Amino acid sequence: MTRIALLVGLVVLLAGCSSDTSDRASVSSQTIGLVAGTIEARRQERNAPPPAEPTQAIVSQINEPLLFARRDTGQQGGMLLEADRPPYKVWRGVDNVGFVMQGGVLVSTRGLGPDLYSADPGILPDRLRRREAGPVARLHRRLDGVDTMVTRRYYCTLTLQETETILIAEIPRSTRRLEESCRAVGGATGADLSAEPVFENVYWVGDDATVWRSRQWLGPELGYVRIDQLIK
Amino acid sequence: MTQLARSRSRWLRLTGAARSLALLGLGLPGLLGLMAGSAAAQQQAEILPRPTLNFYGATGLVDMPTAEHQPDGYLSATISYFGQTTRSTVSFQITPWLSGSFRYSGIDDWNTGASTSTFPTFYDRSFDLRIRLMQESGWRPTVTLGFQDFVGTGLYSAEYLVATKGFGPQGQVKVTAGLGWGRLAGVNVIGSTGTRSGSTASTGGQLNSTDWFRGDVSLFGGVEWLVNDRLSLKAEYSTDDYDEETQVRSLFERRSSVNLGFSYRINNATELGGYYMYGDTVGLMLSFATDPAARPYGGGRDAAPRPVAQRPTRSAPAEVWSAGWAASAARTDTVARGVEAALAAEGLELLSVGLAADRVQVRFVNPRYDATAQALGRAARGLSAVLPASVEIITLVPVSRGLASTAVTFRRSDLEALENTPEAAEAMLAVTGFTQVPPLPGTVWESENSRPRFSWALEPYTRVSYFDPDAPIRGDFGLRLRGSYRITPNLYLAGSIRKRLFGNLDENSRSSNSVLPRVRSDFAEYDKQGDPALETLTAAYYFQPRDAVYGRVTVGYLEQMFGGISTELLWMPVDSRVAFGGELNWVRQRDFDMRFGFQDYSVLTGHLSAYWDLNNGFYTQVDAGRYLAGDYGATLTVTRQFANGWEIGAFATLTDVSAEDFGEGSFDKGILFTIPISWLSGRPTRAEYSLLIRPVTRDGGARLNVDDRLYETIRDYGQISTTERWGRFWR
Repeated sequence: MTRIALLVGLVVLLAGCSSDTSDRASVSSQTIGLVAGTIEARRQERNAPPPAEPTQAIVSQINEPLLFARRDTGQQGGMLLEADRPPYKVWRGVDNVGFVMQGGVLVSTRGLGPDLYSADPGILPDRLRRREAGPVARLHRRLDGVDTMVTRRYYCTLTLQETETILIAEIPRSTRRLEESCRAVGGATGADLSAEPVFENVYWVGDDATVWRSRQWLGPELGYVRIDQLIK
Repeated sequence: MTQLARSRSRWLRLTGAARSLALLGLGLPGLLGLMAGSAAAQQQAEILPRPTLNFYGATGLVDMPTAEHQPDGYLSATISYFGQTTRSTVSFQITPWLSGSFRYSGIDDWNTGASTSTFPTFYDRSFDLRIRLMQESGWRPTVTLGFQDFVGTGLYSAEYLVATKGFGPQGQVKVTAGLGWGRLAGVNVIGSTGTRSGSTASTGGQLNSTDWFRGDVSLFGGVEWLVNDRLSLKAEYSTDDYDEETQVRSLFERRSSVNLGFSYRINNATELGGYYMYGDTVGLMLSFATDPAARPYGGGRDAAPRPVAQRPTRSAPAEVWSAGWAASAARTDTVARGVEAALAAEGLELLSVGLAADRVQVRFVNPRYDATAQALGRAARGLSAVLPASVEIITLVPVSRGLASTAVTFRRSDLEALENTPEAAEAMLAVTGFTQVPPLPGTVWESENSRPRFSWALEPYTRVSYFDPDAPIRGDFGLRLRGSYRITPNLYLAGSIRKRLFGNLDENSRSSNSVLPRVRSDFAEYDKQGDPALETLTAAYYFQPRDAVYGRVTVGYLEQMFGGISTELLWMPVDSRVAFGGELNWVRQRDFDMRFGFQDYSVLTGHLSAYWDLNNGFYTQVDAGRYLAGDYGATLTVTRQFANGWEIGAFATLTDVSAEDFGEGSFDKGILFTIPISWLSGRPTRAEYSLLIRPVTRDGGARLNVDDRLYETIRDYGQISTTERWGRFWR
């Protein structure tokens, strides 16, 4: 009993207590909180359940536009439409990650760390809507570690692939697959294309111009994310 | 014991010095290294890994330096051990061509074989500077000029001119050759450039510039082979004769001038080295390096901000857009409360708001966001949801200690139009105005937040003290109770009491031998007797007599050792990189028991200060005036500041106190670090970890410590500082 009391006392001691908001806590308290938080996050990551596909049963209970996003790292979740600002749609996930999409193309992320700050996808949304192949010029912006805006240009080629019927929440959707292969623009002359594509995105576009599924690149540190439009 | 057994037991033992210095050298930098290690995975691979470090913590082979430098801005901490010598070094790449180091070395068994000596372990502090003269390209090698231990006791004093060139398809074989003076000219002397006085002042800490590049010259060199991107093999010819360590004190045997070994990169931040030293003994080193510009979480893990609320279209009924609400006290009140709640949801505290039909001015306190631009952006988003449609011009005024330095104004239409566009950050900055703070427009509503408010906190604390030869690192852990009563946003009462729970800061048995008034050198007495201690108890008043001029008066127990009155004035325009200020204090020295009593010593101190934010990440501050011991002089501080909140700098003070009177160290100097916690956590917080390392604490050039001086209170809110991180507006 006394051991538990001592342990509790120690925890309280380390965390400190205050009448003020946690924003104003001392450096010691915040450091301890940071370390404890990191340990807890790692523990949760290890104990996280394996990823599972969303089922029709789950989806049928929701009557609002719903996305499902899954990163290659395993981080996944549903996202609800938070705001509709034509041509942009703002989505928010349970873990407060935010996506902004333009015509099914991801143009901004927040809350992932090295986020895609903003992207100018050029005529890509139009091409996707019309399911038309062709060249696309992209401009990506990220904030680096000292809050400077870093701009990268990409020259992409969108190609038309075969029709595919894919399952979105167990509902079959007839789509046409389009692939976008992007090379970096830059180099010595400022207009050199990289030898290899830096990233390759895939879009499954339905007959009604909805992008039902896509696999899009978030950036060099983040990798790819697969986005399913569960409910339009 | 046979020769072999003795040498084996020597290098297997981790002696007291090594243990203490391991704590010192590895503590915080080690933690950063581990955290940065996780970030290492996020960084893109470089062509060649960054150069390896040597036993002196500088870029080099084993004991010899090379001409290479670390990438710009890198901070590294190295601990090395061989032959009873432990060296812990912190190095910083100040610019791509200039690096500096601070080293704390400990040599055990110092009394062995010596005729006179009183230290079982010899501790030494030294500073280095390395300047790159030429960069490698084509047929040219990299060339660097180095000053090792250029202001210290001179145990390791050396100067060198060294060149390094890479050979092979990717330059994996690096050949180094150099000329060394001083400590690096013990063996293989090829000539001489005059005579070195060889004497170190009894006080140490002098710049023996007449000795630089004088005396014997030796040729040293070595080869490093980068086997792959993790492993390097090194061989060097060392011209350091280790005369004192081997001939006088028999700490190891110098059988050969050749050192061999390997260096292994565990990850981008951590390097481990093992070497066979001088044909006799094994040496080990471990180093951690971190790049302050490579923030572990990139742009940050803060939660996605709420979208900017759009106003109804112009085709909506006219009442929606009418300005009638501004005439109604009840409706104005509702809007003001909405503003308060919207700001609170973003962690901001509203002080007052002025509401007119077409414009609003919001004065608030930002306790959360280290980037002012982010506080402004979040405030703007919150306001967009609660302000009536007729309000078009929004002015945000961040307030710190009642001082409002800058008003940030933009149009609501711009906020709505630009939000998700690709060039949102640049475009928003182009349409945002930074001005002096105008009076509040329309109806003024004061929040509860500007009423008197009391807050308290009970928190753990740690205090650390360094460099006592009896114990290089000591620490205390305890509890701190602090309270703050804000009478008005400009007037504060604050106090702080600490109680040690456990620690050994009171075991310092040295007493001060200072000939000056003992304004700082009695710190051991304060540590011993001050428990529980009243750290501070002050009343502070902040005022703004005119635009761009700020003032402060603080009265009470100002710091650990002094209490009295401190007054300050600062002139700092909104868009200025330069600020000027002056401070005048009258203080009395506090009793050692840190209760309410005072000693007899009192002094009038004051400084005129100039603050200059250079545009390239450097910041300098000059303070000239009278210091606590009554001496007159000036302090120069130079800091490298990264936009993400990291600061690394150094300061030196020269006063009319002579080197003999000052005592050990000859003049006051030190290095400073500030690490923002938001860099480590990825979430916004204003808390930062500050570390000031003074090699020697003496009484000359001692400045009063006062909390919340003016410059640090308001500089985050100026235009320069805010726009430096403007990208965070939309985060």
